[in-house]
Amino acid sequence: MLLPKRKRQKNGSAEVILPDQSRNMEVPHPYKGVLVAVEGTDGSGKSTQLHLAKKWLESEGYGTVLTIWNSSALVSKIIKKGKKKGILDNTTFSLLHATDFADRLNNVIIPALKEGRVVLADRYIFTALARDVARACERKWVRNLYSFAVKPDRTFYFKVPVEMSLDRILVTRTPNYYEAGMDMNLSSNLYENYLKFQGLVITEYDSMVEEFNFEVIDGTLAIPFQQKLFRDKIIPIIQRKFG
Amino acid sequence: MKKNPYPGKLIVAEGLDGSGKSMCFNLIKNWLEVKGYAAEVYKRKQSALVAQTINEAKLDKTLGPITYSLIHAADFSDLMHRKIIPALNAGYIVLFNKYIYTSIAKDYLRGQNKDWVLQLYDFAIEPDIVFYFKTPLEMALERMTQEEKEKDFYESGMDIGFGPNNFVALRHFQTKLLEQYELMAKLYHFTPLDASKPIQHQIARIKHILEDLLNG
Repeated sequence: MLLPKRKRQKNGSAEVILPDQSRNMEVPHPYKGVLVAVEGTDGSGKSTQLHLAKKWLESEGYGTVLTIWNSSALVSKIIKKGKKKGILDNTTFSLLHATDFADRLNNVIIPALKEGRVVLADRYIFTALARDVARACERKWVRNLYSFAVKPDRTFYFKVPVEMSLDRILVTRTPNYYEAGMDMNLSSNLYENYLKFQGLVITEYDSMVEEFNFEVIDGTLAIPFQQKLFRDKIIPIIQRKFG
Repeated sequence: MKKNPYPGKLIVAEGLDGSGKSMCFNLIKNWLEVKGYAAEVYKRKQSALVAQTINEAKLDKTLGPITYSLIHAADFSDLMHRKIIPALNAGYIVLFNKYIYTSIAKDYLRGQNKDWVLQLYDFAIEPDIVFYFKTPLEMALERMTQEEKEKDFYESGMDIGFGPNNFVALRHFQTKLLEQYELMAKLYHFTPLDASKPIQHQIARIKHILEDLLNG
């Protein structure tokens, strides 16, 4: 845990000086390590690409840490339980994901960056910015909520058409209730609802490309070809940080 | 924050622990029911979904300050959407003990940016009345330290370095908290009650004000 600096006073109490973290997303992070985030809808191939990049970085001798959305020990269980029962309203859903992220930021991401590792984030705050807004949370409110996040050195957006996203998921499984956005009641048909809801998510991602300077990778290309593009973009970031 | 659009009323009590808020609200609930109004008392950390996790995590002392703020906001949001809004919608008089103002003050003292916290709680519904139980620090501290359950690591502000031990940290943290209540009382037009007087005085005053609200 990050303990604040404190100055001891004569009466034994301490004056607390805490850093203001609410402007973090506006400035580059001060840590030794590198933070690379990947974003995109389910079935965009981003996890595969991240996995391959991790193998490559490790073979080059870099220490890596992979961190996945909605995986903190603290709250992921509550989120799963709430989803199962279908009782979460949009605001609570959004706040629980933010709590999960804050916990991972504190206990996984920042410590790894301080040690000088390459942190690979499979989904970052942009997932929440896209999904929560698609779920009708206020854009301004969600951006404020996540303003404490560490700014990634680079964010990659694996872009695929929504139909391809669905086709790729269907190879192994059926989209679940929340992935399909069934809570939004856009259609009574699960697949139609998925297409409509994820379509909204893609629109949000697209609108963030410029705002957050995403590196867009065409997720419809062949896997090795995408991987080459991905690595070519990672090299300069690594060189800049580690020389 | 949006104004209360529902037929029910949202009545809030704010003030340091040990200022008699819960006792007053329980008595007021009975009084309202005798008068024929449906009333319910609520406080934070009653949301079945989140409260247990908060308590477990507090024992482990692994919560960072931002995580602490967010998980409490999630707990509040769950309570708000599943209990408070339906109750207001059904015409209940909701008596809420320590609403968002306490959270905002505590989060601010935990080092969060004030605008960030205000925006975080923007989804809450603006109360119809906020009673501010005004207590001198010494009296509140005395009552707090007499309680059976000692204030924990987080409640005393030890997690963010407010003092080397629970006792010193608690005094320091509560001093700062009192300052924040005083500021907010002016800013948000709280209705002050002198909580150093016997409880009968406060009850009489609350009844008087609620009668005006319910008849008006």
